[in-house]
Amino acid sequence: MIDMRRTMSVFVLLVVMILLFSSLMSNSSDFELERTEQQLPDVTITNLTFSQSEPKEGENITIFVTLRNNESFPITDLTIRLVNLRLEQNISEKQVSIDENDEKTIDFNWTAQGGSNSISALLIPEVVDLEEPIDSMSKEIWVEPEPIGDVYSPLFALIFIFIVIFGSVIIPSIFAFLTNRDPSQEKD
Amino acid sequence: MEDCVIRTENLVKKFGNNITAVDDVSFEIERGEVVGYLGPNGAGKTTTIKILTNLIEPTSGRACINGIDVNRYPKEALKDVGSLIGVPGVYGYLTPNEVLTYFGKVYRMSKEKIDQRIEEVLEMVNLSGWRHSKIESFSTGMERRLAIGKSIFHEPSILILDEPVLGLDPEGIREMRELIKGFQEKDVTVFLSSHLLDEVSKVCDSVIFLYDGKMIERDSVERIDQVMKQYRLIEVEFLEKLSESDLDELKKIPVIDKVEKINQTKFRIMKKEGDPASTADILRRTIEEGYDIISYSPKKADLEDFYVSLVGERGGPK
Amino acid sequence: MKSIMEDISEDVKNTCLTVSFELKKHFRMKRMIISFALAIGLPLIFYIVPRIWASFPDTAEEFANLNLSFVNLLIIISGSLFAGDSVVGEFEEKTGLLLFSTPQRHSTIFIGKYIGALLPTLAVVSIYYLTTSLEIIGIYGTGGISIEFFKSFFIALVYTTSAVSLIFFFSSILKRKITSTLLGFFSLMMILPITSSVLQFLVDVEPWYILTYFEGLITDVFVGAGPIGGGPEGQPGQFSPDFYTGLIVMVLYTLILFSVGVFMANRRRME
Repeated sequence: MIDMRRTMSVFVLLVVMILLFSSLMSNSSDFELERTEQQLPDVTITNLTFSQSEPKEGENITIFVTLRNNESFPITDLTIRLVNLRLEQNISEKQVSIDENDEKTIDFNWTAQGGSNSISALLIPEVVDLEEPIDSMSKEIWVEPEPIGDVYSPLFALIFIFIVIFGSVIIPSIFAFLTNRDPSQEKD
Repeated sequence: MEDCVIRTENLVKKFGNNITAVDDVSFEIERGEVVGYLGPNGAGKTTTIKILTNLIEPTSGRACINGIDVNRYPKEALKDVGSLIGVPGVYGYLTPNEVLTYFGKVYRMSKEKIDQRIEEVLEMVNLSGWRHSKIESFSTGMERRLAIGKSIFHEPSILILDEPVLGLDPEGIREMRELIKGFQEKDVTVFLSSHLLDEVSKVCDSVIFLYDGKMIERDSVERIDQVMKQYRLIEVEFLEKLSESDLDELKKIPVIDKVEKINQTKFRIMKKEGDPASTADILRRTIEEGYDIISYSPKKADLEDFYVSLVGERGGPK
Repeated sequence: MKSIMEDISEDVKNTCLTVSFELKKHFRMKRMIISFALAIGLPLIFYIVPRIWASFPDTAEEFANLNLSFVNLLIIISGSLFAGDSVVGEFEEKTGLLLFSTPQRHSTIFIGKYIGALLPTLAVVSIYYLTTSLEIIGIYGTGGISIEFFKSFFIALVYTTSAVSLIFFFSSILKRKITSTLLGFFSLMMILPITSSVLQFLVDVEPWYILTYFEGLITDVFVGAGPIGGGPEGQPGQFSPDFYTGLIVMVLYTLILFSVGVFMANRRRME
């Protein structure tokens, strides 16, 4: 009887310990999950605009990126990166801070490149190393290309070519004249 | 006006390192002469003519027309020269009218003169009805006649013709002969090359013989004729081949001056012209010596025989 | 003694005679008809098809850019037709036995042949542009003809002279008409463009000395500078042909190949 009681007690104790241990483990991972979620701030890009809608190639235009902090605390370690997707080039990067529940517009300078451009703003937090940005926004802009060349150069080139070609007809005569070659004088 | 219209001075033309097509050829042709330039294929006739018409340049020496170096001053030298070289191509997609008009303008003929000459020349070469037909529809002989027409179109005072009767039928050959004789009467200088010795002997005043690039003889046709009249030729064909000793025995027969081999069984016997009985005598003696004869043809020696005697049996002048 | 002016006058006359003779030959061989038909027909395709089945591009420049992208093909075809046998034909067909024994400098004959090949090719390109301009006016009005259109036209003419010079050069050094015509055609169509691509995308060298590298300038004037085309895997082009460099290269190709071509033709003999 006493042995049965003892065995049962040990058994119950073991079960309680296992249950207690399991609950302790689940509580700790939930905690870490909360912690991870809490590290990605709720910041979004709400707008991306250009200072000019029809710029010409080579002109300096300003790109405005508007952010919104949806958190109840300020965020200080954000990077906004501007990228030209067509050319796969980084345009610029800026570190920003934004107060809680606030909106902020950051401006970037860009020298317009001719043709169709896809400008993308990427929001990258510094603390957590993520492959994907927190948020991004892209917009297309057409930049009037700089005209290449001029109309007079090829025209003058053409005229020059014709002058040389037609002029080559008279070169043998001039050469003969300069070397004083006269067939009538060379007759025997 | 210079009398010597065509002159070559030590003309040499080499192709590559090994082939000397023309080897130190010098001759002069005077105004109004009709001169034949004779030689076998590959003798250098066409090469000489190409140098004279500025188609190729000599390796050394020079060629002059009216005293003007042809290769240095082609514009001046060739303005009064008509030429026909080899077998020229003709512009098949054009008509005789268009081709002759172009060449007429090159020779600075007036439009009226061109029109008039087209009619005359096409008449001369029997192409009157073909003035506006495309040349691609012509036969080879017609193309040749057109090329001849082009050479005389601008009424040159010097004609250089390379194998002018090539490609012509017997009627065409006869017409060509008459044409050249007509030029002779108009004091046109004609220099023509050929390997048809019989034709040359009928039209030329003198002949230049060329062999292996070298000039081997020059003489008037009249003098050659007189020389050859002194000889009689007999072509003999034996039943069997003659050995060298047989040939030597044959040569010992009196009245025979020379024996030339045509082939293993055919020989040409030259003897001085004289008593016709000597021709029969040769036949009798040859049979007596034991030679079996299947053909015995006496004939008068001509220009061809003179050339053959110059060149020898197979090569090398004698 | 003949004066230099008389000598020059004779040479000019002889050259003009050769030019007119060449033009007559081209006409009789139906080359002009074929080329002019292409020059009118090709641009008409870009007019008729959108008119019936689709719609025209929004701007005249886009229309011109599309339409004129084939002018290069026409330049190659016409240049090969007119210049491919200009020198070699006289030697291969032995018509030179008639032609070169006349009282003319051989150089005036060959220069005349070059001009006789160049003029109809230029005319064909001009007809192509004329047809395109009429289409532009019909669709977009006279305002559709921009300064870029004229830039493109003159660049195309300069490119034509260099293409014809290249083919003429082949004609002066090769022995057969068919070889020189085909070599000229395929050089411009394939050999030089492939070499240019290999240098750009595999060796990473700008092929500024290859003529066909600048053929794109004919339509680049409509879209402006910037890396053109793309690599074999779709990557954007690294090099873009410079307008003025292209002009200089084309002029050099024209003059050098023309001069060498005439020199080489002059040295040839009817052997």
